[in-house]
Amino acid sequence: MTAGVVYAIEETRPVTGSVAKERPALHVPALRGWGWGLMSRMAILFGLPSFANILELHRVGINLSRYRDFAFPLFQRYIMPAKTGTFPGDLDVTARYTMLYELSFALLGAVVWLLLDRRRKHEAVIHEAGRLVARYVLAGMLFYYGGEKFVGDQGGWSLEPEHQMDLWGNNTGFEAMMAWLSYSTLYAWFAGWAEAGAGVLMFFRRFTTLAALLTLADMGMVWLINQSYWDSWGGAAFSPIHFMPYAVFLLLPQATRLADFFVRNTPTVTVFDRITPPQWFRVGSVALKCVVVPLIIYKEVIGSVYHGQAVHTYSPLHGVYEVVEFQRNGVVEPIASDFPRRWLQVAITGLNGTDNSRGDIYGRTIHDKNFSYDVYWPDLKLEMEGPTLIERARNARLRVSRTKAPEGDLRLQSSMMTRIKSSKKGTFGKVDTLGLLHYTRAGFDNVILEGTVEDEKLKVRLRRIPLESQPYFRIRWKPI
Amino acid sequence: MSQSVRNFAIRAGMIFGALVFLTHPFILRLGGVVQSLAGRVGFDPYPMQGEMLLIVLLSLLGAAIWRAVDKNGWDNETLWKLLLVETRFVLAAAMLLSGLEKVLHVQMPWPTAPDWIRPLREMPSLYYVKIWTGASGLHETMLGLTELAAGVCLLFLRTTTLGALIALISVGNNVMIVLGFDDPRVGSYWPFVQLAAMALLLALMDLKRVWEFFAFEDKPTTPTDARHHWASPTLQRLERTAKTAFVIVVLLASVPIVVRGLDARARSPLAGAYAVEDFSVNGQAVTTAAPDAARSRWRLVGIDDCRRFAIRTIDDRQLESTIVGPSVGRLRQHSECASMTSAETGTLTIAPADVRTLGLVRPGPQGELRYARRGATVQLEGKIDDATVVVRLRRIPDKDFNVNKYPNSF
Repeated sequence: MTAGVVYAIEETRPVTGSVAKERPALHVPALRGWGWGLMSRMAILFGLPSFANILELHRVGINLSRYRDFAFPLFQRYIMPAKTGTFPGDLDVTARYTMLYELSFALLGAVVWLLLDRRRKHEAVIHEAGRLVARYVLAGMLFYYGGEKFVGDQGGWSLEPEHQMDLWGNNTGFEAMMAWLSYSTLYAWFAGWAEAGAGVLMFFRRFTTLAALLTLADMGMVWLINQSYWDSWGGAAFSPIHFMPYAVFLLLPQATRLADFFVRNTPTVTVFDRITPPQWFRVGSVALKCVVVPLIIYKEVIGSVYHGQAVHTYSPLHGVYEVVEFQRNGVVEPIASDFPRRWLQVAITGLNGTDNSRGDIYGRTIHDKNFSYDVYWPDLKLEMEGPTLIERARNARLRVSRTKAPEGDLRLQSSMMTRIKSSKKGTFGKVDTLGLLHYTRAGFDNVILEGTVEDEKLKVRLRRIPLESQPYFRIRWKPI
Repeated sequence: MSQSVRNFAIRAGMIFGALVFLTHPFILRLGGVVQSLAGRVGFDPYPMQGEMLLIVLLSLLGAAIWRAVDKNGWDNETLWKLLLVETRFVLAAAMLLSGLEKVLHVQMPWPTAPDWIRPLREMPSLYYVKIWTGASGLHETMLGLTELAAGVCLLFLRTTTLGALIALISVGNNVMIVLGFDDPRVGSYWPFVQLAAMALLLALMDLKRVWEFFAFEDKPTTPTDARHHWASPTLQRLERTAKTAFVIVVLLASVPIVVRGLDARARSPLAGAYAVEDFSVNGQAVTTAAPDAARSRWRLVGIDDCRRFAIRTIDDRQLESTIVGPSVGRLRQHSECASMTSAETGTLTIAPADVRTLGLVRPGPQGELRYARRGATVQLEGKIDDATVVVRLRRIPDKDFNVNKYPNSF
């Protein structure tokens, strides 16, 4: 490949026959000065590990990340020590430091590269390489985000039964935000298209500027929502911010043109560098693109497909129930404030292993105290957070198949929630059986739970509260 | 399209724009008048659908009358330019006023205690979107700033396309939210659809240039004409004064918003959520001896600034009453309520609330309750629904509710 001369766009008009005989060229916005050279190199160094992962070159990606991160502990220790989060949910405060480190590393690397390459003869090629890395990393991310909304039921866990009993004021910002995002399929598709649409455009060099603008708008919106409800400058807020440098890099060469067009209302002209690769390279690139683009889309979306399958696999027990009769150790406890520990409502999840579950069986007492249990399943496969999440869908089907019979046993263990909240309730990885409840389903709406839990003999008669008749769900359209 | 039809359509569009300016909930807010008119002709269950239909019919009728009395008036080109100017300014007004409402946090106010003490499923979905957005100062402010940016850009001819595109994104998002979260029969999308259509029209006017800008970066683009060049001397004179008049109207319309924004800083010392510690009816404590009374015993109480008095019962029902204030005005509701309830003792008059918009809520009791506030405890005594009740409430600190702990909630 060779970088051609710089010329103003007016000079490129095909005014003579000789122009038509030229080899087809790639036009790259012309950037002059060491600052632009630094940025192009930073884009490559910042994005290369993600670019390798996008192309399924995981080993390369992991190794690149490892080389890049070798100085991260020193960075954290001497340059920017991490502080503890101050807001609920602000758990991953390292996200901001990680990004700053990665940017600093890329900057340092770019400076060294520039010092070694002082003649800078290949600026156009390096710039195009930086743009390629940025475009494909962004496209992959945008398809991932879009896939979650199209087929992954993003945030659908927040509308599961166990989240429909507590006072709304006690919901976390994260729950409240997901209850909005996952409510409407129509809106999820709209948001998904805003993201995946920008991803589609990103695969075309012609639409790079438009795609980068849409990406900034999308990521800006994701940041705003995450920052407003989830965490403050933590992992959630930084997940979209992490991608913004790529979009800014793609847009900066067009900044003057954008301002001229949209604000100053003056004529706009772009100056390009020409790269004229040989024919075999062009043909090979097109062929490679035909393989890589579907691969990226598949890889970024398939996890959401299986996740969507898992969370839409429901046990027949799934629902919110009113406790119509409650016996503890043979004594009937009525609904009255004299019995503060009496169960008032019970939610049984889809038993599909949904994310952020509060427990497979989650309940609320008369005095607004919550309790939760997970059902123990001895023969589940390990659900790796791999690219496909296929085991998650299999496990969901397995769990649900165990509760299809009209009656059966549910062996209870402490839930993930109680394990996080209380040190008394067992530890991760250990089965701490708390009891066994025998369920009997009478029709669709009535369930009796009977058994011994935490040394108390319980008999609980439940009647389903049909969620679809509740105001929040009454007009909900959820085709998938 | 024939010249005659085009002429009629432009005139209808101009009248439509003027009616939107008058009726739109973000601008002069006179839609209630049209809705009550629509109610009289059979649109009672869906007044917003009726309002839209009437606006369309009035536009068509108005265009017919206008043409009849002004056969040799302005040519189509002038009318079309006028329509675009009108569209630009109506949209700008909506964006500026709605943006200001959001920035000052009055369009979707902070959720109050009556909503803290009930589960999400009991709220109508669009109602939830409003209180959820209101729960974050950052979210609502940024949405407002976006709308303000669109409004400011729309004020200038050279930045019209930018303003229209920002407005289209902003209002388009609202259209999708309302379509996704409300019963389509209600027609609550119409105010947003009206604005989205205006933004779309303005963006389409420059579509070719925008398309070439993004899709053909190797082609130079030319600027738009940043002047109107009116042929009519009347319009030339009008242009100079119209913008000033528009700014004055928008400023006047924004005064109540600013007043409400400042008022929202005040808060009644009674407003908050309470746990019911003691509850007796006619001098008797409520026990399991009377199962129905035991189920209906108050468990939680949520009070806002002299509007809602919400009761959560032991069996998990929400009953809501309206606090009847002698002089609570709409603009200064919070500060008047704060002053009314600033004393440690006083009286609350409550009446069953209109619960149609609140979701799964039943009308609450009516009567008069004397309150005595001491620290975190409030004692209520009085006669409601023919029974004498004595209730001791313990204030639950606001910060105990997660909704008050969102990051960046200001």
